[in-house]
Amino acid sequence: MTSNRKDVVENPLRRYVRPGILPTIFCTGCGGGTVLNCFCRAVDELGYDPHEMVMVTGIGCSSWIPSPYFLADTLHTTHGRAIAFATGVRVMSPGMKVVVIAGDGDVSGIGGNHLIHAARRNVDITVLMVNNSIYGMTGGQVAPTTPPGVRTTTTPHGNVETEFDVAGLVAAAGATYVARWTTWHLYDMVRSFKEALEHPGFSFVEIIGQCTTSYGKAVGKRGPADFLTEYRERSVRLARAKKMSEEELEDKIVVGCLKQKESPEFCQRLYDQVDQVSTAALGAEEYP
Amino acid sequence: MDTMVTEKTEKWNRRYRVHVDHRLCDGCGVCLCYCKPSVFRISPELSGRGIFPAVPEAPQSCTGCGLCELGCPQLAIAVVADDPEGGAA
Amino acid sequence: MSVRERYLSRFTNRTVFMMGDEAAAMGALFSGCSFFGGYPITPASEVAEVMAREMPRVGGYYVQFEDEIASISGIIGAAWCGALSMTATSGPGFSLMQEAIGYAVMTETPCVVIDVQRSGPSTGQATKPAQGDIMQARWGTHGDHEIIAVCPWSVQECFDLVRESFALSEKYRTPVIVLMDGAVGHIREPLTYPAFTDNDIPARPRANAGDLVFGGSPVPPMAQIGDRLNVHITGSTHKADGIRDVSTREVHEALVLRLNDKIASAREALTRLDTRHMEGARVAVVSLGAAARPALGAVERARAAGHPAGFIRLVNVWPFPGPAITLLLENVDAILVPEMNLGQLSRELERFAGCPVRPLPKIGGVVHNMDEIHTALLELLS
Repeated sequence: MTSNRKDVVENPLRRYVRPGILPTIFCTGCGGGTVLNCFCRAVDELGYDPHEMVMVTGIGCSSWIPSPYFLADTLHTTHGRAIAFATGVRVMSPGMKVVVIAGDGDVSGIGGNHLIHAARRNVDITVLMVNNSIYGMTGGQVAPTTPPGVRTTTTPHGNVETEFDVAGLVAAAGATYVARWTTWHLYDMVRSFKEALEHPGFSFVEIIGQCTTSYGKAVGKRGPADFLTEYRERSVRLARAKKMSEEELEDKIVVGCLKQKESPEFCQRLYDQVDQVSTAALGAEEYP
Repeated sequence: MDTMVTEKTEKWNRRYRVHVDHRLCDGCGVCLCYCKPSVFRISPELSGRGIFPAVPEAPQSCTGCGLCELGCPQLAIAVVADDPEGGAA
Repeated sequence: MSVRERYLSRFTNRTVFMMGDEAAAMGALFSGCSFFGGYPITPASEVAEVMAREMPRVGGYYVQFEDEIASISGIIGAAWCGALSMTATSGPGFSLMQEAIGYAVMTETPCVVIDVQRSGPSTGQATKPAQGDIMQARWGTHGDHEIIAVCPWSVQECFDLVRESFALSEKYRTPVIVLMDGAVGHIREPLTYPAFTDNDIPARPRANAGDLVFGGSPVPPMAQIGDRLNVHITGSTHKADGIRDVSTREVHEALVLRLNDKIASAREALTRLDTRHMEGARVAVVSLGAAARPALGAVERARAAGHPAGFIRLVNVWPFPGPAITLLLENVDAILVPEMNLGQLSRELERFAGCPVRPLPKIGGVVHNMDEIHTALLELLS
């Protein structure tokens, strides 16, 4: 569905999308499409050349956001392992922007270990985790981000677990840029994506987004409007949240840039060491 | 393809053309959620895709905030400022 | 002259005394390996340790990942950016890596995976050698696939076969498994270094704009990340341009058949057998890796006493050199198969031997000794 027809005015961001591939296969009203849109806008506003970007994704609906939609080098990997692949990619590609886009089940469930270690290393990659509180692609099973009590296909009697605060986890693990937004916060999301992409070090943005089908069914929401209304009502910006008690924040989604600092970055430290050692090695007598 | 030229708005002194590509629109209604001045409605007529698409029913109310364009999951919407002199921006 | 060439040139023709693991690591350096992702595991940790020390000296990268899954994933990512990449592990880690090995097969990613086999199943006898992963190397990952696996029996061969593995992985655009075992990995023997120049680094055929990266020829050229070609790499079934298509049966058939044929049709070219004393042999001892060392001693002792015993050692184990073995055993009455597992090699040999196969399994982490093989050999001859 492409066009050069003059009577159709296209969203200018479509130049970042693989030709002939739209419309997306996302369910009606899926937050994933919104994230794609905002990501393209961020790239556009930053003036990046997509040829200097590489998208690394995992398995799940959110992993389809860049693959096959965003037109750039794309490495669509195995479930939960995108960040590990991306680390190898980034070490070998100092000139490229490495971006992981995947879902909460992929990144914080099966991929949790890789997430925290990449954060600890402060690897210079950008991870956008779309959190829809469910394993959507497989039909709606409970996820590490599903709130207690929710009835999913694998918690038919109600979820007996508590959900992850993934952004908090990642910040504690050593990430140097951490933000959380929802698909209600469009311009905030774009700005945050730009900050994350520009940030030298491990940057993480959690985007709470609607799964209108699998999760909508679990919590009785009829469409994206129900979700967006809830995000709008439950969101509290960080500045205000800081003045609220734990009790008041109980049911709230704290949004904003939660952490931003500069720390030694993994790849740069590795490069520096290799430079140093390889130069010294030419003078050394030691050999195995 | 549904485009309506806006009347000159009192408040913003700008006119906007709101374009919804019905080959992509799947009628999810997200644009209705984002749009404060209620520019959109869901059309009662089926589009070529076989769904009820969003149409800009009241483009004269459009403030050019661009939330619909940015939020549309199918990248189906383009909001273009109309030059006050009369040409398209 | 690169940093690597300048550094490695000082080793030319030098003979050193080191263990198999270390020789394997040095083999990787001499192949142009530029990225190693590792995780500690007995008895393969020494590979990682040497890589960690030496890689920076040649301008390459050593990354110690949080687990084996991250290691194999990281090296695949690195390979798509131009690295000749490698990882090393043992049984439990090899088990963890299987999904990603399948991903490398499906996406045709060149890389080298060393498995220094140890006694299993599970944690087993962590510090003791075995040969129990032969079948896992073949079938560990799910789905229909072929794999290339080689099996060194000496320290020098650890070095040489790792070098060959890099060349094979680039030639066939596939992961290559180096099946060492804890005995060969930890034994210390002399290793003689060859000369190294940058030309020894295996070439990787690269795609140009418009080339098909995942089809169109038996081994298509690779478009790398950063080539500005919008390469799309996925483990899902995909068309020749790399874009996913799981709905069309013909697409899946074309892809998977080509991936399998790519290796299967090269069986002959990949066959490497070390045969000795086969002239007039009536019984042959067929083995690989550590078990082949006492096997050779047993055969030579039998030959010295006038018995018609022969020796066949598999240097490449997958794709299985069946046809070549059938030919070799034409006039042989029986074969004896000493192996450090319960019969993985003998089971495969039964398909090709054309004569009775007498397994001589030994588990428990102890290598066969010459006497037990010699005794079984004489029994078979009578």
